[in-house]
Amino acid sequence: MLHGLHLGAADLDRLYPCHLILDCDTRVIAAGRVIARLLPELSAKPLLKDVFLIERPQGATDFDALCRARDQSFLLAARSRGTVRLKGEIFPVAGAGAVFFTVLWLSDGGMLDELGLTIGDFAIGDASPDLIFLVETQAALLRDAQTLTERLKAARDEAVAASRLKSEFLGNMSHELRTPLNAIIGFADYLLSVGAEKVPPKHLEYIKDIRSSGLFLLDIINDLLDMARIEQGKFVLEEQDVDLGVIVREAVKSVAEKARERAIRIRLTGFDRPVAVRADRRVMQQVLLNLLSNAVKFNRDGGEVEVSADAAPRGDLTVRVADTGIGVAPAVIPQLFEPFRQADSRVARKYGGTGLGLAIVRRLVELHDGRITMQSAPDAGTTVSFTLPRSRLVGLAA
Amino acid sequence: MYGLVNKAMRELVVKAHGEPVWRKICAEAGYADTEFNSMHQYPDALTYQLVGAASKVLDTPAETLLETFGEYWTDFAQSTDFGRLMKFAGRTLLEFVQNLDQMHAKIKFSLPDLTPPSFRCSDVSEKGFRLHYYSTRQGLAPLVIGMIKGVAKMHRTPITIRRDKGRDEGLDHDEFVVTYA
Repeated sequence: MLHGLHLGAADLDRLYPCHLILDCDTRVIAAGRVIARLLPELSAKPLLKDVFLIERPQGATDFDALCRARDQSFLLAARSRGTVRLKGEIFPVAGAGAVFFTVLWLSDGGMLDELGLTIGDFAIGDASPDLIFLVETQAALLRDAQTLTERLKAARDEAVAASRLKSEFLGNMSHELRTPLNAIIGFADYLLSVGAEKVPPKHLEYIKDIRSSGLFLLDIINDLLDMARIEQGKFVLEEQDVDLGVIVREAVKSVAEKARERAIRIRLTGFDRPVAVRADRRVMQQVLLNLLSNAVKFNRDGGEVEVSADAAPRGDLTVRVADTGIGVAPAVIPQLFEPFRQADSRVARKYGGTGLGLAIVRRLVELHDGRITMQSAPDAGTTVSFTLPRSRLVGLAA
Repeated sequence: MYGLVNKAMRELVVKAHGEPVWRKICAEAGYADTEFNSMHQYPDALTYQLVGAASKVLDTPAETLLETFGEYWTDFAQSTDFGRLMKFAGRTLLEFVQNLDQMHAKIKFSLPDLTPPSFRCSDVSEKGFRLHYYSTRQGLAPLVIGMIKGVAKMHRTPITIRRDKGRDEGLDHDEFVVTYA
């Protein structure tokens, strides 16, 4: 009786469907409906120790010892059915025996199935099924995430393999294309050298076209070959001490004629003394020639190109190529450093090119432990800057 | 709705009509992906869009699809990690339905964003029972019919089920009559 409330046997069974009632001889004289169903031997009113191994607290076997452990947590394991375990506490009733307030001790969802338990076998307030649900759903979540990760990994492996095959194909094909092209350019050179006395003037123009188209194709093929080699990790730098000033001036010479044709002025800043770095000369030529060619190609007539070298923070070196040309929207800049991308297809049609130039330049700068960036806006010109780390600078500038 | 529901729908369509048809349904529904993460919460609108798109692509009424899907759901859920938890809901169809709210309460413990429907049984007799279905979602009565059929099959209990009255008649819930065959 509690504040006028009576709790009867049925209430006890509802709150603790796995309870046990002991007499003073430790005989189990009554049991909750669920534990009675799981362990039918309880109907014979056996001694507690004959049905359960008392795992905790150890040594509590007779009634007095059990009662003395009333403040401790009990763990009982059924001798006939290893998966049936109870946890709870004992509540002695003076002179009458004791009640074990126990619940099933579950460690995973498989036990629900194995013991044939349903939700109705648990008291509403028993948190064990909630914990089992939590464990099961978390495990499902993990398995789900694992499956997705494996699928993503497989897709990535497939993409990497396809990309490698593509690079190998590009490399082989470019090599195959270059051989006959060299013959075409070579024979065009020969015919041009033979001169006007043996070749009719009109044919001479055709031969010039064959040669310039051949050289244009050769540039494209060389780009493809470079890209393929970089992607396959086969691009090896031949490093030496080089003066970037010399390389910049050579690059300026290469674009000078085109710049002159369109009245574009090229200015150098910071190259009045040697700018010495440890780098691959041919690669640096390629990088600077590419950036200068773009600066002229995408400039407006009468525009300006400035190439400058400056000390960057932490002692790094930054080389900038700035033009006053058509520029691009900042949003498309990241694309330009990816292979086969140009700002838009109209640019490709108007200005030509493979869309590989900046992608190759980026990789070549990165092979030198450097980084490259671009600032641009439509009709506001473009500045491409690449930075080489301090470790690449050599003491020639002193 | 949790991705598990959309995942089941995907599996049903792929099994019956193949992957290309499912891709077509996703495209029609404006869903860029074709897969779902079971425990990820997706907008209800996506599930409705997928049902609408499936109805169009398969040229089948949405109600028929929902009922088929409901029936399939039980098989699907049993085949997932939740299979044994489903058995836990009850040993008979009636017990299962009566325990559904408690089951959902337990699942909500680990899936806190779950907004499950609520079920109540009345007029229980040896001939059957009346099922009361409460949900914040509209138009899913055919899904309930399919699901109850699926659960009945799981418990090897032949039944017939019909929608008796509901929100269309001004109630705040739908009522179904379940009769043991």
